[in-house]
Amino acid sequence: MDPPETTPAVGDLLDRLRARVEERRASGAYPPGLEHDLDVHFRHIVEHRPVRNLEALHTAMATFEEGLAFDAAEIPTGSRVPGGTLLHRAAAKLVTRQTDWIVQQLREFAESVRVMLWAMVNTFDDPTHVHAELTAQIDAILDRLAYYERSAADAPMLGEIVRRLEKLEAAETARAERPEP
Amino acid sequence: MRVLFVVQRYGAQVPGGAELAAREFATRLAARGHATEVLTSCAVSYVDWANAYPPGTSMLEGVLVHRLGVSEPREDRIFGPMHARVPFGRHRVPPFLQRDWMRVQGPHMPGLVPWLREHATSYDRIVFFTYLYFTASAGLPAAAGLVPTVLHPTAHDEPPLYLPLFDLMFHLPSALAFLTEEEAELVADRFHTHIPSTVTGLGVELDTAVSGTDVAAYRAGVPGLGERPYLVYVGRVDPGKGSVELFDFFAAYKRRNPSDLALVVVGDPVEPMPPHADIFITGFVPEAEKRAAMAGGLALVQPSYFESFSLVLIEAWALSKAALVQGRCDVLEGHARRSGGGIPYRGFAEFEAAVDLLVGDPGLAAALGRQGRRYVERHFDWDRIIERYEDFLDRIGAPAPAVSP
Repeated sequence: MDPPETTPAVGDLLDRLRARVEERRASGAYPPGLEHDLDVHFRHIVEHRPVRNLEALHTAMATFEEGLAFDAAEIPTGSRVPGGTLLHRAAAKLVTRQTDWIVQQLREFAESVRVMLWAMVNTFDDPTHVHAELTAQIDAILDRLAYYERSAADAPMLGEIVRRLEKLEAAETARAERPEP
Repeated sequence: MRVLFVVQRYGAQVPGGAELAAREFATRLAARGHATEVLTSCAVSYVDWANAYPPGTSMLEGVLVHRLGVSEPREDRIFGPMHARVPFGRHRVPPFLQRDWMRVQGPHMPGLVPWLREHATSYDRIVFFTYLYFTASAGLPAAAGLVPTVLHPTAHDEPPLYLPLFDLMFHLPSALAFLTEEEAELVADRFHTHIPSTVTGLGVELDTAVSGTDVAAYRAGVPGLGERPYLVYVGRVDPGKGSVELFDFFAAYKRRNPSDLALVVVGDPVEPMPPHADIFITGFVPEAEKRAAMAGGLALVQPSYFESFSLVLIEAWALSKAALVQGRCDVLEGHARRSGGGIPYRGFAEFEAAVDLLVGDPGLAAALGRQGRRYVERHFDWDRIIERYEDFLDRIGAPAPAVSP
């Protein structure tokens, strides 16, 4: 009789595979630099993919959301003055209606701010986010510039500009490749 | 229905996924009684776009093919630096330079736009294949507004896709057609288009896929291969296809895991590769030989970072072969996860562990292959795909608004 057919799930296989990689990594099976050196093609590819690092913005949003718990019960009523605590509690009770109303207004305001901030973060996060009107203006200026650059009378000057541009780009490349001190 | 396909290359000698897809759709629509025509270049090779076919009109597999001459062959000494500067450059380049890059990218056919302006209205639908080339870049604006148009972008997540040059192009057609869900998502994220679209996929002939695979004859034809187990790569040997990385990974794997495992490469190198005792490069081979190469392998490796579909992966699964696929390509990872027929790997360590899994457990490779085959049977049957495609073409309504030149 044939053995029963197995149906391996790709997710399970990947878990096995990654566990094996982690074990090997922990045991020092990959010499220093091996993985980095062999990832050269991938690095070459990803350096051209648009990447946005909005981590700081997301962290700030998380902190902001943690602070959204408005509650009148959190207003301290303690006092070092004898009888002060009782007085504060009584006062708090007296103005409960007003404080609750203010807290409710604060909550609503904070919620609208939260929604607006997330909308802005998501706009930044969108990989195709562009300022179309600015892009159009820049394109028009660059096209115009290209027209001037291409005129025959300016050819010697264009050569000089190209040389300077290439020099600047080379310097920029060298600067980018040097690690930060 | 009278349908015109516009594609950069077309013919029996033309390799390339998008070109093959265009030919399959055109031929199969013609076989179902549609008056199908193709407008294309005289080129066979995308490397130089040299005119190889004579210009004019001819018939191929029931399809009327109109060929226009390429005016400037692509010269690498000009194209190379330009390509490095425009899509791959550190800085954004002005539109005139992007347009120049597209002209050099080619195939530059001065007759294309006049031809389309003269003949477009005599077709019911015009279908463009591949966003990346001059044929769609110049042809789509010429035909849009005159007749309902479809663009099959065959887009990958690659630097050229982010050029502003293409912003308008993706809003011009009456409809978009994609090969995978991942391609549709990529285009939606990049261009925010709201025009009708469909995911067509590509088919394989399931009966043909397994017929005539003479593995013994194939092995005998590769000197030195003998009975050694092997992984097989099918496609162009080109850095963008991940094949150069595969060479490096496999060589490192063999240094660390000595065995008789070999790598068979079925495809032509764009640049010469250094010789390796365990790597057999057979070059471009006929279809039956390619199937035999895949059938005899332990698994197919598909290392490409840029795929909009990967027909070769589907063909391997049709042969019930397991696959190792590039996990950093959404399309390939999506196929592997949906089918259960492949292991996606990310980086050398996972590649090594995945090869170990397959080599160490022959039952696993067989099980993955079976799941791959079932996936192909469910989703990539040509008859069903063409029926859906006909329906899609039928449903496309009025042409998109005209574009001023």
